[in-house]
Amino acid sequence: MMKLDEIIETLRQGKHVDEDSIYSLCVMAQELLMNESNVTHVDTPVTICGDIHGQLHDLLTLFAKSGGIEKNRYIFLGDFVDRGFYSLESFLLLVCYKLRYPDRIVLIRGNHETRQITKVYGFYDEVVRKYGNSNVWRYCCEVFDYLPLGAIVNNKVFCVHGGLSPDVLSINEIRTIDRKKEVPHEGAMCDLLWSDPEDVDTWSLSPRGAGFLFGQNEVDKFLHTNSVELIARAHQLVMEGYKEMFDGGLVTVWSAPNYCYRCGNVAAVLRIDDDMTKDYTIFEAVQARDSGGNVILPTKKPQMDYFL
Amino acid sequence: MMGIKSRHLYDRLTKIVIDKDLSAFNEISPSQLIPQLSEHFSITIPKEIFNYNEDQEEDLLHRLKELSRYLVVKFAKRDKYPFTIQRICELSYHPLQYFPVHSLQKFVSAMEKCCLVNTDWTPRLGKECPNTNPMEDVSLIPIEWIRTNKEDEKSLQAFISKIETIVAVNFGYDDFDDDNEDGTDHDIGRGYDNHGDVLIEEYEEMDEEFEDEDYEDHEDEEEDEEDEDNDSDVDEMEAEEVEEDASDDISIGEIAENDDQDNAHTDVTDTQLKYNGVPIEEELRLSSTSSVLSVSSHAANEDENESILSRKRNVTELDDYQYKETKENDGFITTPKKSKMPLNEFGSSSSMVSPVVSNQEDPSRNDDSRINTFISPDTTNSVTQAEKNELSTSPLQDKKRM
Repeated sequence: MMKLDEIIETLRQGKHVDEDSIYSLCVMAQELLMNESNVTHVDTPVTICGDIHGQLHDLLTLFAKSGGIEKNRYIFLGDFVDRGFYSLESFLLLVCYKLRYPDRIVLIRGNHETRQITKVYGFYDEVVRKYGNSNVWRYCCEVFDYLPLGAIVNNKVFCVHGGLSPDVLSINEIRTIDRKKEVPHEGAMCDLLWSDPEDVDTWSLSPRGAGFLFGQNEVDKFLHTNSVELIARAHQLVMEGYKEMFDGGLVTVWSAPNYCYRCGNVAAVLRIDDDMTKDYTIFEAVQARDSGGNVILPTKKPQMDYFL
Repeated sequence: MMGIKSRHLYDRLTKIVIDKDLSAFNEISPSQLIPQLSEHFSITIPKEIFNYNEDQEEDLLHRLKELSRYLVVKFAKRDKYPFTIQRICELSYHPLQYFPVHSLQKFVSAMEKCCLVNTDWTPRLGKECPNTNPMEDVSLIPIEWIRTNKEDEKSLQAFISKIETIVAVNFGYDDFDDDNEDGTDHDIGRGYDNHGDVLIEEYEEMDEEFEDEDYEDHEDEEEDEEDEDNDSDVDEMEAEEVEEDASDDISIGEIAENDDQDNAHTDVTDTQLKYNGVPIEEELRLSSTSSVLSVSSHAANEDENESILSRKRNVTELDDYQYKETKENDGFITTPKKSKMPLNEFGSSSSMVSPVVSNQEDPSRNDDSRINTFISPDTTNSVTQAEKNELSTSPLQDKKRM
C-alpha cells in the first residue's frame, strides 16, 4: 500500500515494490493505454527518447538532462526492458509517470515489449530473480499488449520503434491494426517494430529475421504520402547517440549510454520545439559506484548470456 | 488567486497542488469538489486565462464541457474521484505553467488524457500486505486468524481428545493394533521435528520387518536396527526417553509417567507440551557430548521398563533403536532441529493432536496446516481458491482486486 508518489521515489532508488502495488499500477496503466489510438497525437514541445533497455540509472540521467517529467512532454520509442539489470524498475517508473502525468508521457511499443523476447533477453529472468515468481512479468506483459505502435508529433514527425512496413502506406492504415495482442512474427505490426533503414533500393530481407530493410525511396514515399517531415525511430545502437539518414528524412535515436554496460556509446534524446526545430541532447552513462544505491552490476551472472 | 473565482476552490487546490497534501481528497467529497473544479476548467480557464478565440476555438470549449460532464456523471454522482485527480488539479490550478497562453488546444488535449478514465482514485495502491518484506519466505508467516480463534482451537482439541479416548482404548494392549500405535508414536515424534518426512518410508518398512520381534525379544533388535539407517524416529525416541529419564529416579511415578505417555494425545495442554519440548533440546545436546552416559542410563531404563513391559513394550524397544541412531547422527540431527525451533514452537500446540489426522495427511505438511483444515475448511478453501486465481493465465483481466 503506497502512494503513487512514494512508488515513484522507491523506483527511482531502484528498490523493491510489492507485487500487489505493481498489479494495481498495471491495471491502471492498461486503462490509460486502452484509450490511446495506435498512433497517438502528441503536442510540441516534446522530447523523443530511444531504447532504455533496463538501464534505470541512465534513464534517471535522461530525465535530469532533458528537464524532467513535470515540465516536459516525452515520447519513449520502446525497448524499455531487457539486457539492463533494472528492466522492471525502468518500465515501472515510466508507467508510474504515465499514471501520474498522463498528459506528459507517451510510451510506444518496441520489439522487446513482448513475452517471447523478454523471456530470452533478461526481463523474465530479472523478475523471477527479484520476486521468486513470474507474476509481475505477466502483469507487465499484459500492459505491453496495449502499448501504442507509434506517435505523431504535430502531424509532422512520425515516431515508431523500428521503421516502415511494405504493408503500410499511410499512417491511417496503422490505425486500423488490432494492436492488442502479442507481436506477430510477420505483417505490418511486426514490421513497424522490427524494420531497419539501410542503403537499399527497395524492401529487402532483414538479417534480424523479422521486419524488413528499407531505403531512401521508401522513406521519401512515406513522408510524401503522409505529409510528414521526419521519421523518428530507435531500435539500432548508434555510437553517437543519434544518426540522421536519407537527407534528414529519418533519424535513429538511441538513449541507452554504454549499452549493456560495455558498448561505450553515448546516448541522445531529440527535442522537437514548437517551431519544429530539432535539438539533440547527448549524455553519457552513469559511473558505477560501489555504494549509494547504484551498484549497476548487481549479479555475478555473466553478461555474455544476453549477447547473441 | 490564479484566476480561480471561488476562494474555497482556490484554497483546496493550493493545498493539493502546492503542498502536495493529498489528504484534502479525503476531506472534501467528490460531489462537492468535482463540479466546482470542472466549472473552473471548462469555463473560467478557456475564457479568462487563455487567449480564447471565439471564432476558431469553439469546438475546444465543447470538448472541455464534454469532459466536465463526463467527470460529473462518471465520478461526482458516485461520490468518487478519478485516479488522475491529482493531475487534473495541477493542470487546472496553473495551466499557464504548462501551456503557452495562446495554445488552449494543448490544454484541452492534456485534460482529455487525464479525465477520460474509469478507475477511482485511492489514496494508496495495492492492498495491505502483512508481509512487510516480500522477499521473505511467505510460508513462515503466521496466518492472522488462526491465532485469534483461540476458542476454536480449544474446542478442536477437546474434540480430538474425545476421538482419541475412543480410538486409543485398545492401544498399547492389543498386538493387532501395532501399526496404528506405531503410526501414533511416529507422529508424536514428528511433532517435534518436521524434517523427518523423507525418511518415514524407511520407518514403515522397518516396522513391518520387525513387527514380531518387537514383542518377543528386544535385545536382538539392537543389532538389527543398527543396520537400518532411520533418522525419522530419532526425535520421537528422544521424546520418550526424556519421559523415561524423568521417571528414572522416581520409581513410583513410573507408571503414571507411562500412562501419560500412552494418553499423551488425550490430555494435550500447553504446559505439558512445554514440558516435553524443552527437555528434548537438552537431551539432544547431552547426547551429542556424552554418549557414554546415555548408554549407561539407557541400560538402566531397559531394566526398569521390564516391569511395565505389557504397556510399554513397543516404546521401550523403540528406545533402544533411538539411542543408536542418536549416537550416530548427532550433528545432523541437532542442527536442523535447532534451526527449525521457532516454527516448531509455534506449531507445538497442535503437534500432539495431529495423530488423528496423520493417516491421510501428507507428511510434508506442517502441523499448522493440519489444524487449519480442521478448524475452518471454508476459509482454507477460499484462500487456496484465491491463490489459484492468481495463477490464471490472463492476470490483469481475470480479476479485479482493486
